Amino acid sequence: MDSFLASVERRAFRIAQMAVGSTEDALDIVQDAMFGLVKRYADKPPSDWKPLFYRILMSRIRDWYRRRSVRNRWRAWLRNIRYEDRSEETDSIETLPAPPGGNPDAQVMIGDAMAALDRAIQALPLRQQQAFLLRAWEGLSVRETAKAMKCTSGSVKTHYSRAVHTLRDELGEHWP
Amino acid sequence: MKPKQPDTEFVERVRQELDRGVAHLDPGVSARLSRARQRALARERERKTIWLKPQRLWPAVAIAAALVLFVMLIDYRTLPKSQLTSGIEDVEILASSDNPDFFDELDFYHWLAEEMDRAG
Repeated sequence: MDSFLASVERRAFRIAQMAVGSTEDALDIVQDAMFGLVKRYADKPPSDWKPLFYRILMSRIRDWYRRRSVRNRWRAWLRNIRYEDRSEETDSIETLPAPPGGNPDAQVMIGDAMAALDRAIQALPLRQQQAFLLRAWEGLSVRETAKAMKCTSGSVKTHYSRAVHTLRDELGEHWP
Repeated sequence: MKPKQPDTEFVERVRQELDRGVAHLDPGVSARLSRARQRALARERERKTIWLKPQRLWPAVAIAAALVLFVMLIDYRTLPKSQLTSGIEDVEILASSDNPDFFDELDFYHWLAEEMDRAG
């Protein structure tokens, strides 16, 4: 279990960081996912750990978005601000864009190409972002990705395809 | 217009960039990830052994004792009265300082006493 977690922890952190845009929150999310896997699935065969770990990680990221959504509503209510279209403020994770910006320090460190990629991935809707990173980076199969994202294989294919096309369009200028 | 790269080539390049980003991850973040992993594994080890600690066994022992007491009480209440009396008599015999043989011959002594009463 130790070696498995060591093999995925950095990528898991980057996935969480790109999803939530905060280093501290990403570390908390990864730590929670590690606790969850060890507590509930340590007895499972090691071949199952990867999809299970990412399932927990994605679940924690969704929880983070829900908490943020609730927090934002309370703030809005407390400030007595009336939004023009509250329907866009719903908790539909499907359409939620990731928070803008990301971690500037990390972006400087890893160079322009990486920074451009970082921005482009962060700008993807959360579900597309997850489908792309799990499929393209983590190498999960469509079925495993669907399990991790708690959706159908068809949805994974759609999200992945849209993500690839969006990224290609976005990165075309930066990646000659 | 420049022709588009095939998706696989593009995805491969993205993967390489992402790997490069992970390779240059801040050492502080790497250290915190490592600590988080150790904490997760340590907590699990602790969780597995926690039931073997004596202080954790006391509640189980107390519950077991309460259950035994409960079963005994139920048993006591459902026993026939004669058996209960017999049990009490047994305790009296065991607690007595008299010779146990005396109790074996108790019926004889009762009969003898009745005969002597009749004889007058």
